Amino acid sequence: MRYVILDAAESREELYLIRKAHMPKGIVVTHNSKVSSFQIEKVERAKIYGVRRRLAVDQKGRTCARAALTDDGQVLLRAGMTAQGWFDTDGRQVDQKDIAAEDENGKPLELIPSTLGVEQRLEGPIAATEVLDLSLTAVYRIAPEQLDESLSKSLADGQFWRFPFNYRPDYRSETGYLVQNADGIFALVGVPAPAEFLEPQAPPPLGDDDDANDLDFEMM
Amino acid sequence: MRTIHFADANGRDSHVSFVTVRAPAPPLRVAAGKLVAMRRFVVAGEDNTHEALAVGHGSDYGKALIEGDPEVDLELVGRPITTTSMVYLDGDGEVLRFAPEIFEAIYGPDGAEKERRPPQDKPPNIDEEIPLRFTKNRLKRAAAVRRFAFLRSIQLWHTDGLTYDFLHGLAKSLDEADELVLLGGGESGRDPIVFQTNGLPWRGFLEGRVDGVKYQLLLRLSNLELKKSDA
Repeated sequence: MRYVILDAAESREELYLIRKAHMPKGIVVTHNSKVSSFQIEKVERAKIYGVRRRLAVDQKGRTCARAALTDDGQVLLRAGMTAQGWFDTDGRQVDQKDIAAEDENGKPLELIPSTLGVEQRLEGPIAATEVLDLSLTAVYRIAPEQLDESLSKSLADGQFWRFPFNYRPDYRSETGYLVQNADGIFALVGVPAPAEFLEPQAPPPLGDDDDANDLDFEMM
Repeated sequence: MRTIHFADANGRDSHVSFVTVRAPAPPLRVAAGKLVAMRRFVVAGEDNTHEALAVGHGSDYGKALIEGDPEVDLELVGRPITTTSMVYLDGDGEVLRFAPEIFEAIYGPDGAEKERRPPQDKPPNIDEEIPLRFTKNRLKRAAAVRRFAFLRSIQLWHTDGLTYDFLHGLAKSLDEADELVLLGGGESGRDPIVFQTNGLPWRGFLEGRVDGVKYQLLLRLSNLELKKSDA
């Protein structure tokens, strides 16, 4: 459908306007009341360094697919046979629209809308230590569509700026930081997770069960 | 509790505890006053996938969808999936009865396969006889933030007065220099850090902060540079 619309454009200008209207919404921030906007592109390790995978091959040299067998051996689950859904404690499936969220004290939480395409005020400059304390969930390389001159200079000088970021509506807002280097401007997105300061008499840490999360799934 | 064996720039080494620094847990999801959780469930039987139906009905596939619900297996659909065992399917889609041959395939940033070779296991190197060592690579904190995406942090934790003095001293010197130092593993002292067999290889930078007698000594882990992709 999109290509039909693009083919129908009668001028370059019209083509540009159609393309812009169909582009995904990006990051829009204000700095000293001046607006800057960026298109976003996720930075993925595989697209920079490539990827290494373990492949299983059958006796005829053909790559094997993976499937799952239920523990009772009754159902072979091939690709496309499963989905994810919400289930309550009684095992009943729940519609997405019926789900709400609450904090650890049982207080209901408001759904925070997506920030894409919506002006967010920049705060900063921010110390590097604060950016280091971010538990990253995504990294975007962002291409300026409109860039305020003073923000451009600040980023080029190596300063960092904070802004609220939610890719999609959620009950928790994430935090984004603008960072620039020779390869462009990047948005580092995640949840602040500062570590605790340890005193001489600090009790031993609680057990860490993170080992399983460190497996290189490319190698599985 | 796991330990890490590392040595400072003067070759002083110690085995110390560590924990992963975690983000706060996401908010609890509820529906009608009950907690809910995401689970996997069955949406189609083996004979009801798009591929199976397309083969089974041929040119009548569309008509079959309009006239009935061939994609729904009422006995299976909605069944929650608990534990499963992974099996391989051969090139004909049948369950493989023999252990397959395993290869390691290397793909370039463009997705094209570059090389295929026998798999090589990567052993861990965090708590071995040879400690992780300080390299000569040091970066100002701000420069590190602009260059690397730090995807995971672990906090080194003292277990007694001696390890407290060691870790606090390192944190203080790094904090005062406003620097991170790259740790390297293996005989060469330059290998990436691997936490478990076939675990992700990480570049680990040690960062320190002090507040009087209190300290943080954090190993910032990255396997991703902030750079544009060529693909």
